[in-house]
Amino acid sequence: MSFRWRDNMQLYLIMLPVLVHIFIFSYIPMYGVIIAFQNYYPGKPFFSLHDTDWVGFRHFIDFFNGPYFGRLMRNTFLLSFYFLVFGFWVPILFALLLNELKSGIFKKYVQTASYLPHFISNVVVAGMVLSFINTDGIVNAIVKLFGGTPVALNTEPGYFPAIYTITSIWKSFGWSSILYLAAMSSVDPHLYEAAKMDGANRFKQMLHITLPSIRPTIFILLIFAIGNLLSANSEFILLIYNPMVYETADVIGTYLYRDGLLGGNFSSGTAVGLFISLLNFTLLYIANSLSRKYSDYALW
Amino acid sequence: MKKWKKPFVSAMMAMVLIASVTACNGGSNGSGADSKKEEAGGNPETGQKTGKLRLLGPAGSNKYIKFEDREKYPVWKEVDKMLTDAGLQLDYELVPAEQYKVTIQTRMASGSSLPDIVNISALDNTTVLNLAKQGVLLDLNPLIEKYSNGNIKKMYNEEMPFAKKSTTSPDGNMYWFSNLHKKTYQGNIPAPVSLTMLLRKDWLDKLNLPVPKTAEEYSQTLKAFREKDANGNGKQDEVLVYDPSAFNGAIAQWFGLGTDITAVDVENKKVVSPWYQDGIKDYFRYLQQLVKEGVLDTSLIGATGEQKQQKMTENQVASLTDYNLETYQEPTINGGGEFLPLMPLQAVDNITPAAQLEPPFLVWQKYAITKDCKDVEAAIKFFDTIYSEKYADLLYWGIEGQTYKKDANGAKVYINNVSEEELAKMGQATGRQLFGDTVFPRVQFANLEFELIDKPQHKIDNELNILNYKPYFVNMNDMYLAIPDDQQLEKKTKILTNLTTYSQELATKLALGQKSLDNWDQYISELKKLGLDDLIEINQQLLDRYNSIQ
Amino acid sequence: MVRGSTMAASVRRNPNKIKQGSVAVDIVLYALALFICLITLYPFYLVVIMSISSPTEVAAMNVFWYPKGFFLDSYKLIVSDTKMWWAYSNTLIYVAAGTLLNCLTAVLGAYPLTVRTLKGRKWLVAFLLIPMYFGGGLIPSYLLVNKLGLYNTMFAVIIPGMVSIWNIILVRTFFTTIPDGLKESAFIDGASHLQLLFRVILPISKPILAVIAIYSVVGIWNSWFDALVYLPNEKLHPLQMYLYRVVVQQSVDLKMLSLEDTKNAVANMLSNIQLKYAIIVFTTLPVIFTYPFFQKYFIKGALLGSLKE
Repeated sequence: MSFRWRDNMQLYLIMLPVLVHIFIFSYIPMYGVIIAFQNYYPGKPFFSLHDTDWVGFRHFIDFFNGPYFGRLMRNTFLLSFYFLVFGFWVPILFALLLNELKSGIFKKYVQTASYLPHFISNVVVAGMVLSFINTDGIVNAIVKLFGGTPVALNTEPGYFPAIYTITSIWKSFGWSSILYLAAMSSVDPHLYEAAKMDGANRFKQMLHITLPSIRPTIFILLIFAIGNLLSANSEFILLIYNPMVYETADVIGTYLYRDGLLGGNFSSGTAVGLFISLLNFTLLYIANSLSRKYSDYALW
Repeated sequence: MKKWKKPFVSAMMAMVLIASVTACNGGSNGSGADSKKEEAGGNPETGQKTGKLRLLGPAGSNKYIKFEDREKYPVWKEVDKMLTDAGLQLDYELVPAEQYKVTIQTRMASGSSLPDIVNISALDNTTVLNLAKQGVLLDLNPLIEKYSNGNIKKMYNEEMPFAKKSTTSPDGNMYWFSNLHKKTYQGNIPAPVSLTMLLRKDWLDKLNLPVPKTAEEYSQTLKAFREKDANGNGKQDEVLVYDPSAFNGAIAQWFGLGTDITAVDVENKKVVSPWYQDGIKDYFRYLQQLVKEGVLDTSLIGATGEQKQQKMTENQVASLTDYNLETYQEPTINGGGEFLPLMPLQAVDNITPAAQLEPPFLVWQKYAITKDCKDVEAAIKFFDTIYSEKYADLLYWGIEGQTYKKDANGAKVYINNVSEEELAKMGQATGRQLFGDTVFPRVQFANLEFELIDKPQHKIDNELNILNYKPYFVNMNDMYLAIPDDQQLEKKTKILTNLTTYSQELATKLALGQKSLDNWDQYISELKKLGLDDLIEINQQLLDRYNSIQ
Repeated sequence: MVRGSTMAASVRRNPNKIKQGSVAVDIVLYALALFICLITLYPFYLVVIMSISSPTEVAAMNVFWYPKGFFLDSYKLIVSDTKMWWAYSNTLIYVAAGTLLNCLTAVLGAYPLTVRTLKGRKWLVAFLLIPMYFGGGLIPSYLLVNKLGLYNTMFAVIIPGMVSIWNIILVRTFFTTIPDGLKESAFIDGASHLQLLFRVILPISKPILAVIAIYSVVGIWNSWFDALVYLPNEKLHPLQMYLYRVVVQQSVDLKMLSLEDTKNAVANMLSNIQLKYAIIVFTTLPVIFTYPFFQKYFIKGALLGSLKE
């Protein structure tokens, strides 16, 4: 028993600096969420009986009762959901593809090229996207080539989710694949050797050796992706949306941004953020529980 | 046991390295704030004691004319002398402009290390009013009464009487000083400029078309530009750049509509909403027509400035809303071009088309004195220096003979019309370029004469015609509204986001024909539900109070 | 046995001989790879040629395959500003310190979580996860940093960022793939946890460490938000913060400006249109060049010889 205790102490000691840091820099400032229940403005005290305006759950209720609540929730969820469904497996497939290529300059080029989009700032990507989907942009030029009529894609709400999803995937798949490649590289090459000698073809090798090596990573990332379903990339959306596509493009983040332009939405913004965090955390919990039940991998 | 030492040691070394570098940096910067001390000592002869002031503001964002080089600009030497003569010693903390909003929010939130005088323009109204209520910002009127030498009063009461109307709080106090701007013509005729539809004059000449005098003719002209390929590239791509989501495109005013969801009718002292005005349905029908004929470029609605710039550079823009006296659009057109500002065009039989004017009197930005200010008298002296004719001259015009001169009629005009890069090299800048909007308020006596120099005659004619044009709406409605009190402000902020979202979407969809005018009653009831009537009522109260402040 | 060792030898010589497949599959794979290469390379190539084209051409978006109107002024503007070099050296410091610290803390934080007999493991994980979702916002963090005396010093950027919970999770996930047998044998040999961590686990964790390192390098290299909040002193600014100021990234609301101010705003916008591209190239190239340094850790079989059988 005392061995266990000593053992545990050792481990906690190892973790201590990290735990202390997280406590100081992540937990101490958490009291800031209290402003979700106040009417806060910079300069007001956080905790005071007379100087602070306590409003209870009003900000939450206002948000739920807002005319756009349903639409905002739906859009936020849908855009993340599309990205998850269509984009989650792209880095994985790409990593598998790269794994199959012979080492050499070409492979290096492909890999380097794949993560260049990560480095192009959102502002520039937005500019490029908007000019590509313009009536005289590349996309419409191709459409015309096939005999179709050009459409101003940036003004049709129906196209927005596709544009957002495709662009987001394009920007992130290369960078995300790095993690999978790292996991794959730690596989003992002898395993492939042995499999080949057992008569496994390439595909079987991939299925039984490569894929399992990245299974833990896949599951963990999937759990987190589900735990992020209510946070769309509003910074990017702000750059490519306009009133005509609010129907499918206006998400919680962009709405809060416009709200914040009028000033003084510290409290309501925090309240909405808190609400979303709770929902996300719940999704995370559910995803993790399911994962634990049906597979070996879970966060806890 | 030894192997873990390596990464540990390297981590330690990294920390030591950083510490030493930081010590160097930290040492050379005192407590770290980018402060520069100003050696404007007191005047021993007059026995004035030196007033020390700490000022916090955003750094200028001018790429070439930089505040840190101020010693080489004669205009600064003059201002410096003025401050010295007033017995002031100033300590500036200038934070890069992009960081300023965050800095000022956090600084105010912490309530510590507040400067004496601070530029709080980056804060929203609600926060500022709350700070005032808590006493963080001082009430200025009693201080002015006690310490001012009369300059402030003269500027605020006589020269720029409109200033008090929009800076007096509901409780009757004034908590900040502002930038003040007045544009006049021939001495003291107020000279607004207008935002109007510009039309390609060179294309009119090229295709031998007359200047349109009605909205119908305007539409025909745009059609003709397209069909006859005015830009000569073989494609029918000549477009009108117009955003129907707000009502601030000048076409809306042809139909007698205000410039925003709620707009101020200055002459009639009323707050109106385009949604209730007579010409609204005709306006949308007109836009629908423009869209159907392919004249209005729908892909540019809600576009960024860059995308619109792209169309301009590609020589495809036939018409757009902009200042009548602008000259910055033409040089960007590949192959050159010329814009003609149009007078408001008749659109509906019994509605007089209105103009959209930029008020000749502007008040903006906020400079406050905080509760941590120990030498309030010095602070007031600072503002007395600012709100003087001499300072105003240096700020806006510079130095006579170097940056400006007087024309034949005695009106001031700038001498050096070169790029800012050149000006920096020559050391000839005005105060505005060097230190305006940082910790130094802008006080501007502008004139129209200078705007008219070197402008093509058709632009000058337009401006002179618009000078006294009525009816008109203003492009900056908030200039005419008094500061709201707590309840009004809370109500407003609650209504505005949702109402604006709905109005923008609705206006755009109506213009594009995606929503039908048949459901009009439904839209109006929705607008009412979102608070349009409440907003009009609140703003009317604010307008009334504005007009009642002396 | 003999065959095995010959195979092992040939594998060491050429890891690619491991897999052979049909040529058809190869062609498809390579074609796919080429396609991906093109759709990711072209936009970046576009950025590069726009960064040396003249602003009018860039504004008209006329540039497609080659630069038009050779224009190096944007680069000149950046390179000739001493502030930029200050910012550059600051960034190098932030990156070096931050990456080292991040790797260290990620490893220290992850290892204990992999020991199944650790009491309270679930609570530790919860402790880590909660801050990923709930935070107090800008102002409390600012007040804290201020109170700790870090405000306006380099430490304000380095210290709060030196622990990344996400990295801890990634490292932990990787650690769980390490066979138990390895750990068992080390314990039997009498190793303590620390010894196990640094002597056995770290050497075979090079891939994940490389990933964390490169995530840190790029993340810190591109960051400006912390500097925005905690560093009013521009001498301490990192590169991105400096560049953020060179280009006014937000679109200015022209409605609120008077005629004179609009003139300046338009002039700014025009020069910025082209400047943005130069900035991307300028900031990206150094990072792209460091990647190969990490890449070797991702190569198949990089760990041959470091595993004990």
